[in-house]
Amino acid sequence: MIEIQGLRKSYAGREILKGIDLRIPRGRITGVVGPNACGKTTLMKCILGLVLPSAGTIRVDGRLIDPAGGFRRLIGYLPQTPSFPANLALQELIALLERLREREAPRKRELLERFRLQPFLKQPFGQLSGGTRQKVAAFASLLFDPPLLICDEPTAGLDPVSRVQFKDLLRSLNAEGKTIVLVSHFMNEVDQLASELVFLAEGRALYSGSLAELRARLGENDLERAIAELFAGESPRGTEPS
Amino acid sequence: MKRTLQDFRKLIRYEAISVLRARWLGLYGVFFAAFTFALLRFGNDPARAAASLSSLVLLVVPMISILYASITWYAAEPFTALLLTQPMSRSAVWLARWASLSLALGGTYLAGTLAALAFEGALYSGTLLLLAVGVLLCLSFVAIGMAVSVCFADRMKGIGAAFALWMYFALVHDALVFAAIHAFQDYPIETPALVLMAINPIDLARVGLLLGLDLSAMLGYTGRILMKFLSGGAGPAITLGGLVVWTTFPFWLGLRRFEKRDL
Repeated sequence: MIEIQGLRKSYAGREILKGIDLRIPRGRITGVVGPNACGKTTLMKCILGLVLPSAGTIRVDGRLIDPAGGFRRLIGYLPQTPSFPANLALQELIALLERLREREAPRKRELLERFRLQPFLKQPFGQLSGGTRQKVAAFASLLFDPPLLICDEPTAGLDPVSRVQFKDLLRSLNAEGKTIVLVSHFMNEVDQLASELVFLAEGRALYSGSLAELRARLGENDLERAIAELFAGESPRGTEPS
Repeated sequence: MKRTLQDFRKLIRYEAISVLRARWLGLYGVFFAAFTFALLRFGNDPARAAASLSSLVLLVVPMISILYASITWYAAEPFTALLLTQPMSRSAVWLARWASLSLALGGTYLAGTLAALAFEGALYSGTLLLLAVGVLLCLSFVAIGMAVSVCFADRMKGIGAAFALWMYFALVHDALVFAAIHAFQDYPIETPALVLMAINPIDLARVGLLLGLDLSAMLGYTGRILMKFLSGGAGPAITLGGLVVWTTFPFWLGLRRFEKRDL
């Protein structure tokens, strides 16, 4: 689904991504983990075309990402800290997104119900709580039923009940065949949801492959410990997922 | 270009709604209406009232336009990123942001001032020129504010740079010109002075107003020197044309930067 070759990104002379080669397989949930400032968000933003790589190529579903942004029709994005214009209301956001995509959102009613957002349709975003805005962001990312969903720390701002519901939602979306890339600090979340793992450290992908294979190689069932071992440099590089 | 305009048409309505609903915008319009009304109603001399109003427009419109464009740019950055995760060109987002801010700020200034001028029966070619110059200054300084902001990732630095630029154009430039001309008083200074005026949109606007309203009282130093060159029929057209250039150039520079900017 996503193929990345030789991806490099530098900011102000500092190299954030140092030549990343990855394949994120279709129809799976891939967890992207790593210590703070290892380049996780930069990598996601490169895939979305928000950050322009210094070198390397990214293909989404075989299409090279380009400034025209046509590839974005395939992607739903759930940012870490969603923000909407304080003076716009949810119903206006929906209308705007429908205009931009030139079609009616196919899952509008279902998602409004699922996220219980109907009471907030006419309320300006400036009056909504952080949790509700997070739900709106999740709603917007799924509105056009994209085959690929990129979630950057999606449950960070959610209460425990919403967090459980969101995880169930990701599972059901995956069961429908969607490819999900999940950037998360919560190892247990990745452990519960993902079947594939990308571990980034210091701008490099130290592991990319299946979680089961990682566990088998390291003889370690606990994902957090396995990651710690990887970070300590005690493990071999993972193989590319099939 | 065609794609940009298509995307722009989809976006502009919502960008404009978002900006136009800001409550303080109403106060901005009321401020101009009240000030214009007070000057015309309580001032004894219409020429002095026009001069005072022109001074206010030359100071306030650029300041509010550049600062509001900069502040809005940073506040809307996450939403800009969200828009760019949709199939949408960056140039359309840039154009829609500039157009909506210009519409909101220029429209509010125009509505407030025009209402007071009409109420006081003071609509004539000079005051109409004042309205046009105010709108052009707004378009220009919104473009400058956005162009400055897109160059700085840090919000405080960007807003600070926008404010410093306004200070330079509004206050510092004329002092520097005065010093330079004083230093080179033994040489022919008309051509350099013309260039110095052209590199400051507020000076251009000032000279344009001066020509239209026949107000020597509000001449800056540069303007005074240039008066004799631009006092023919082409003068206002040249200065207004200069303001158009001062809108398109920063708009284009900012767009070029935005197209390569990481979000």
